[in-house]
Amino acid sequence: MNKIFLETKIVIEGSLNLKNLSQVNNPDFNINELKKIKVLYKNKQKNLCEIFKIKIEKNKQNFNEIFLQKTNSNFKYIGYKWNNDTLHVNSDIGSYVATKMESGKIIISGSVENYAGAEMRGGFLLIKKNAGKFLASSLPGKKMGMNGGEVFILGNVKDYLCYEMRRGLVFVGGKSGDYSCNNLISGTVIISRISGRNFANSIKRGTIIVLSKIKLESHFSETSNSSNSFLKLLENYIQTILKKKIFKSKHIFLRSLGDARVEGKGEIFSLKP
Amino acid sequence: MRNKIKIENTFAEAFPMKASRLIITAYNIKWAREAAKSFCGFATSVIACGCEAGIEQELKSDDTPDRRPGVSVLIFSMSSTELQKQVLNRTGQCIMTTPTTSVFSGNYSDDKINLGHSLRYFGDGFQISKVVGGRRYWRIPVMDGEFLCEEFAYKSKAIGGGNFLILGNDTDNVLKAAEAAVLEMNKLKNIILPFPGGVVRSGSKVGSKYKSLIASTNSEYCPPLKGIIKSKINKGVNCVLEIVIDGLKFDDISNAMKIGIKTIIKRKFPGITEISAGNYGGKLGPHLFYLKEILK
Repeated sequence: MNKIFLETKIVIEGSLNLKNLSQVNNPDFNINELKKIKVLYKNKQKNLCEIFKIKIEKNKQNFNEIFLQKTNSNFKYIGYKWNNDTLHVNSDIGSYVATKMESGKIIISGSVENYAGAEMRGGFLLIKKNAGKFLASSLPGKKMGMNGGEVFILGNVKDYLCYEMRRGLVFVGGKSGDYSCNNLISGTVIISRISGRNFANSIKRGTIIVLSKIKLESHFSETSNSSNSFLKLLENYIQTILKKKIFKSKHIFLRSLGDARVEGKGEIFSLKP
Repeated sequence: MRNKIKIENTFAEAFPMKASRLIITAYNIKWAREAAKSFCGFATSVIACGCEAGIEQELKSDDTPDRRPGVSVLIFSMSSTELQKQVLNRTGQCIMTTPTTSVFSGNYSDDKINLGHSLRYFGDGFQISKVVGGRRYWRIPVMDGEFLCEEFAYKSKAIGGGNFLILGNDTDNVLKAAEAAVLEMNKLKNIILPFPGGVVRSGSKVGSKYKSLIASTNSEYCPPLKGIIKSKINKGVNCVLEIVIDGLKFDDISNAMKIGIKTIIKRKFPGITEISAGNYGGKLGPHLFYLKEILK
């Protein structure tokens, strides 16, 4: 397949919608048509080649590798319905990254804005800095959040993390904001620290692991923690991705179930005070 | 002749099987071992056990999916259906019942065997499904916590019935030689020695004078029958023991036979006169292990 290098040749000052870049995922896509992909810049349709310098090389993989350079927070919808291919972004980008992503990999070296990984169904998203609101959540007006795949954020996230999430794995290396994991339906979320209010309201099922001490509301009841094998399996997997240990040997987890107000059977692991 | 031991110009005859590898982990190696021993119980021969199973190796915590000490077991059967049945029943009755254990698939292929996919119903609705690294696991609540079980095990093509025979003057000497060979062969991966202690005394031939039996005693190698029937053993031989090997590939079995036989030759056990192999004139299977080629 191909290595595709995209570098902006103009300063992007307004919204740039890159939804159509995902056309390269189609195995039947003619690479010569790449420069004619339509993108919306400041609400006007343009060809990809009007915005980017394009360089194409052959690779030995059975998927395309796309390298996007000199981006900023005006870049939106990157990786929309992305599948199979690998996308590398070397700096910050805007909202709606990897929404409805299906498979493949997206690796972002900078920070992202809101709705990253929203309604994602599969694949792997790595954000090396921070993320905005509604990470791995549902899109505005929808009720189904992330539905599969894996999201790793090494920095902090803002409010509404994993709102209405249904499946998948999310790891947050920093802290999360208000309303984290609200209405969680299933899936696994690992968060280093919770700094916001109203954590895990109305969770129905799913697993949340908090790598710090937290005080839960009374609608969560403490129960026995005998999930040693599962936690170790999870730790081992995350260690293979991040190349570092996330659980320390002194970590002892408490397990709580809830939210009782919605007859929820969700579980929260947190460090013993 | 090698070190005064005659290597008979013959071959071992083996047959195609289906195999699966499971990794059993537990709180400590003792309980992983207990589960594995129980899983591999009554699994010496497909003639009447339905499968052949054995411990492949013990694993350090760094080598298991959940970083706990573990044991890998290999299970072989003649058909996919029987393998599926044996894996599921033995996992449910022998591994899930053992305190603190978890079970994972140790090989991957396109042919799945239900594991947690079926066992989850024991959780009576309280089981939890988790996908980690693209694989689904089931967390089934049990009285000591939870039993973590991968959703599927996988089956692959394998070979069963690699073997060699150790012929000697008495039980003591032949047992010692067999034990030494087993000790070395047990260090190898991708194979198991399914019989008790890795050794079998009741080697069999195909068929019987009784119509209902599919196998009967290997009369040509039974010392008590010398003189009554056309025997393959010489005058001084009073004991014959067999080591049977099941493996994932031809080369795994071939290598195990080589190491086993070479151990006996090198150690110069007194009283050992001959190494032979069980073949059944092509009635049993297509995989032929010629002793002389193996020892080249």
